[in-house]
Amino acid sequence: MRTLSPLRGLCLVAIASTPLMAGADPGEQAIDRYCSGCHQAGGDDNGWSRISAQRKTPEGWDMTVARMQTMHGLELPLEARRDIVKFLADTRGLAPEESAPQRALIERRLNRIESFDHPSYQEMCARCHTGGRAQLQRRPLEEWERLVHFHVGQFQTIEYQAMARDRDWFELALDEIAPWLAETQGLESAAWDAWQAQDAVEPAGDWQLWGHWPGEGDFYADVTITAAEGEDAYALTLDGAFIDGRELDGEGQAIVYTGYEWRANLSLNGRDFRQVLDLSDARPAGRIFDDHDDAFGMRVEMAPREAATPGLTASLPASLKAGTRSRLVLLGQGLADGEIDLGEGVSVREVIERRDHRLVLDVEAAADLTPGWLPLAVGDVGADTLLAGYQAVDRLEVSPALGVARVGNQATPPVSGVFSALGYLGEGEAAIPLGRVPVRWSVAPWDEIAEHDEDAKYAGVMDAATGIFTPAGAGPNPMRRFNANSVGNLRVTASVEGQEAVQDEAQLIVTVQRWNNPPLR
Amino acid sequence: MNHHSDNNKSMTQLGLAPLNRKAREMERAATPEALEEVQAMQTIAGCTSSFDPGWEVDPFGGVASLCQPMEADLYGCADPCWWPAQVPDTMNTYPDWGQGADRAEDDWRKLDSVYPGGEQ
Repeated sequence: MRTLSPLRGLCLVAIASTPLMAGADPGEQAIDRYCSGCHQAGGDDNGWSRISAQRKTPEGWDMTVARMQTMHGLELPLEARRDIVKFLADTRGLAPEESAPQRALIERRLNRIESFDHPSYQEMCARCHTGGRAQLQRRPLEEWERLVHFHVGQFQTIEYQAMARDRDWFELALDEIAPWLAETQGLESAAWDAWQAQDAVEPAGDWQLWGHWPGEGDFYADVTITAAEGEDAYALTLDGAFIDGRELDGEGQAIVYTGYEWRANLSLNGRDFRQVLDLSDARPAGRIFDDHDDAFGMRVEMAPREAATPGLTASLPASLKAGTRSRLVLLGQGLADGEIDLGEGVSVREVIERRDHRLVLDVEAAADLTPGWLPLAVGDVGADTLLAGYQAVDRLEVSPALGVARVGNQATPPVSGVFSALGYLGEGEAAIPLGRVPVRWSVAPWDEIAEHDEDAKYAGVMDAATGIFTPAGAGPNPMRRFNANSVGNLRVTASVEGQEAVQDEAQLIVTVQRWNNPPLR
Repeated sequence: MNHHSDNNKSMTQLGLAPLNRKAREMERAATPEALEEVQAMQTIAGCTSSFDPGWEVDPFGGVASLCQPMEADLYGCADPCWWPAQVPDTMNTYPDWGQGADRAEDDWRKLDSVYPGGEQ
């Protein structure tokens, strides 16, 4: 049994003696019950001390409550934690414009390098965690200063590490970083005031969603969202397919925070995923990802099945190769009637499915197809730059340029390397994107050191067809010198099938696991 | 005011012993030019760029200069709170993290993730 420190004991006494306030919202009631022992209610801001002087994402508030549990001995039921996060994200959240610059972090897209409009913010703050983590918060100066004080108190060696021991970290944090954050990310904002005055987005209804599942292919799905029990809670079903015709089915539960922050738990073809969407846009976009293997995910877009204006919104795939026969899926609105014209050199062999919002076609691209955009026309609607045709790929671009995978085990699941290769026709700004083109993947040592250490042999396996790298297991590897972990520094190469000389490379660091995995890294 | 030059002290000058062999090498190698290079370096979002000697990536952008195997010196990272965003710090935040896993080299499978579950 854990022993309570004197301070924790005091907190619990305070909590027990705090009378329940009659707040209507369950989150408000839970804050009064579990938080107001330390965070005084009332005052000028008509809220609770500290709490009401901050605004954050739902993930940010959840991390705050988790920190109260871990560091201050707060004990509360999971339901109360959910209610608190919901209430605070709704009443002290971020406007869509405020979270927009950091959607990648919320969507757990980590294989990218951050940049900031401050000369030392990277070194001062973003050398331990993402800079985005703090940029998804809004506080007045004194709250940013308290955050600095907290860091020095909680993580005392912060001042002795590289990029801290060469300067007066604490003074710089107080004199330069906190004022900059207060100025650029203060508590009050016109965007937040305006967003609060707006009606929340209503997601219930019929949608279509599309994206690319790594290793499986492009997919589309009819999504039906219905209200569920609980505040801003929804259930959803997905009924769709990959473009080669294999089924894609799923279901899930979602909660909408702050009027637009959609968070769902999904099961798609039997695999569990998280889903993050920004509903503030007429065509919501976001990401579906594996909560344990966050590199494994898919950017998705969603559009109402009954759009106000007819039109074509997406082509899956984005290009056709001359001399091939394949399926083509066109998404949009107003596609049920009229002639289908896919541009010169492309003929429709079979209409597999035709609905108002979707066309599934079996098409053939002529061997003498002229490379370039293929103007599409379906009845009265059309799109000139949605589908391209090509004879050969001129340029290939692998992303991410630098990826980090992690060895893993049951307690710390592995993080994959997930690469994609996009083709282009032509060069420069006029280049026409072809989307994903068929490539073969391989890995090799990044440099002489990696070759000497046989990183390519030990760090894991690249799937030549999919670009998905499965890292090796965690732990000391007795096969390696010094029992080194199965880490590696690898060169990832993709080459276009049938055009081996058209290649691109990326770097893949296969590294050790991390044990601290909050939703915002 | 230039804080960088006012307080450009090495670990040894601050009265701290480097934590391990790699840290000692880093300390010896750290010329002002090399330090600039390290300071200019970044890694991908969420990986630490405290490259002394680095958790995910070393100061040279690879993995060859990381402590290896990591488990051999894991508590040398956890106890002094060296990469608290990656490795639970047993100094303050997770004092019991290594309990029951006395020798990380042998007991690493027993070490759990720490973020307290709170699905939304």
